[in-house]
Amino acid sequence: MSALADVAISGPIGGRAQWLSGLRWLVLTLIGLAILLGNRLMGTLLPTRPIWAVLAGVLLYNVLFWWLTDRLARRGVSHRRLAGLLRMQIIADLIALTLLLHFSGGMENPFSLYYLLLIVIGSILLTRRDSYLFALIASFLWAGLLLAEGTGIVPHYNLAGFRLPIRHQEWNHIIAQIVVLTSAAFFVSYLSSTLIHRLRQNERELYETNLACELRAEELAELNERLQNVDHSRIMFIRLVTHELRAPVAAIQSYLRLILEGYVPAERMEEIVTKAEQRASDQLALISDLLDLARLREGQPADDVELCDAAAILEDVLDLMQARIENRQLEKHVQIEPELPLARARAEHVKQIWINLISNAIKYTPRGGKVCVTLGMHHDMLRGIVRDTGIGIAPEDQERIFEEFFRTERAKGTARQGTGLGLSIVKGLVERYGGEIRVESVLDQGTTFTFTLPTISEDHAEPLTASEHTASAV
Amino acid sequence: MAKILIVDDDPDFCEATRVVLESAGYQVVTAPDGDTGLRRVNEEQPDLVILDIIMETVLEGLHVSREMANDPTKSQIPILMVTSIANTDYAALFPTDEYIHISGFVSKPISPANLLNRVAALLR
Repeated sequence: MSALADVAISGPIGGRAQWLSGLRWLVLTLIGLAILLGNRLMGTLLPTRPIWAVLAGVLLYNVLFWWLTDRLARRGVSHRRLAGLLRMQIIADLIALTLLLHFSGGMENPFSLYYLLLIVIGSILLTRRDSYLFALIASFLWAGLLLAEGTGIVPHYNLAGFRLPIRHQEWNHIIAQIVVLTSAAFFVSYLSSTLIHRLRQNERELYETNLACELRAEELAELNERLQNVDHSRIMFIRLVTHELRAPVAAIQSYLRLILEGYVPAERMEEIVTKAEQRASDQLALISDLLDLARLREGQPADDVELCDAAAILEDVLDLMQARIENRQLEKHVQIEPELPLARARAEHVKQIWINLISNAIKYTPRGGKVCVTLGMHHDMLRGIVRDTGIGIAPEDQERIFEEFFRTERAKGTARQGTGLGLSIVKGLVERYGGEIRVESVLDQGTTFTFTLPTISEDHAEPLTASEHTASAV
Repeated sequence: MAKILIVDDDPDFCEATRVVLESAGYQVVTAPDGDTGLRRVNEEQPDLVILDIIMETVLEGLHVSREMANDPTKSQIPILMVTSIANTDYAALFPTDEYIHISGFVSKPISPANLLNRVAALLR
């Protein structure tokens, strides 16, 4: 039973129809064998020819329905039409059973119980309403047959030796048979369709639970992967910082050894010591960067509001970068609107924003490329744009570049130096003053960073609008 | 006296190495990256190259050594590779499955006496 239910309940409706057809082949074979065997054992009691004719009819419509179902399922017709086909098959089976019963003794034949079996099959395969429909049809067919035979409208074939030949005309018997079958039919259809209904419900719930579990598992796997990535980034960060902190110490140590072991001629002593000192300063700058970042992460508010000239700072930074720009043979375009208001931010922070963005643009743009820097007003905010024709950032990385320690694979491949901190610091600084920063990028074509800072004139910040932003980036 | 080319993106390392080598009377030229390094090899015809493995890109130094090995006019020039690679996270990126065309390793920070010994041995 469980195997049948599996096929019947979970399979698509086309599968259920195929299952019914298969079952019908089996029943046809069994009935055929029973007739052959019965005739051999008991002599020819029954009119064999009409029974064979009915069986042939069943065989024919079985083939027909099987072919139709296959065709319709292949064409992908609706569930309802396939169910309709299935309903017609069960009704055909009920009629065939009635005919077989008629030719094999009518009321005398105990196989009339098989009406109930068909109703059960119908309930398994179709809906509860269908189940009651089958019970109704079965009752009508059985009553019709018994009444027709009892009144002599159709002939009665007596199972000689099995039942008394006059029984089919006893009215109390006919009525009892009709009542028993009718009540049994409805009872069976009620029970089986209720059971099947519950079974299907459980199955659906189980399926939904399974689905939910699978989704949850996927979410967990994803989360786990992200955590591992974060962990990996942190480990890489520590290694990188270690590396970055080591290089200057190694250089300073090299200089000191030279001095100690007397390799430095007296006339170069001051120069070498100065270099070592410079390297130590760089080291301190890096360390204070790290501390800055740590402080930004702690989210200290900008308690000390200062004013500064972002345009003048930009020009200073460009002077600072000039050697690197020339070294990489980059084309530089600078556009600064005249008479800009002062920025409401600390000068060292604005300087750091420019340095980080512009040095990134230089670092990740191949020789001969362009770096464009623009500073102007946008609504009530100062707006800075740093655009390059560099390696670009893949769309999936664009959300992540402001994360601490994150560096794209391409960035790592292009430039070794880099802690993955620069953009985190820029974002932290811009947002500290109530500004915004955005990135737009196309791989191999370039990247545009746009940020805003508040000015002396206004306190409230207008967000960048998408259209204006796009226009500015073209 | 022999001419030595130092290829390293750390200017302080170049300078420190230059001081040591010049104290022993060698003539020194430097290059800040691999491409410049290869150009200097052509221009200067050095007798020895001191090469950092990791410069701007992770394997720039290896690229230089490979280029030199493939050029018959340069393949005879000995290469002394300098690195702190064994202690860094770049160790995993270092190819172990190919022959590296170098004559020896020294590590940072350099020990002046050791450096001079290695250089003298390679130039002999």
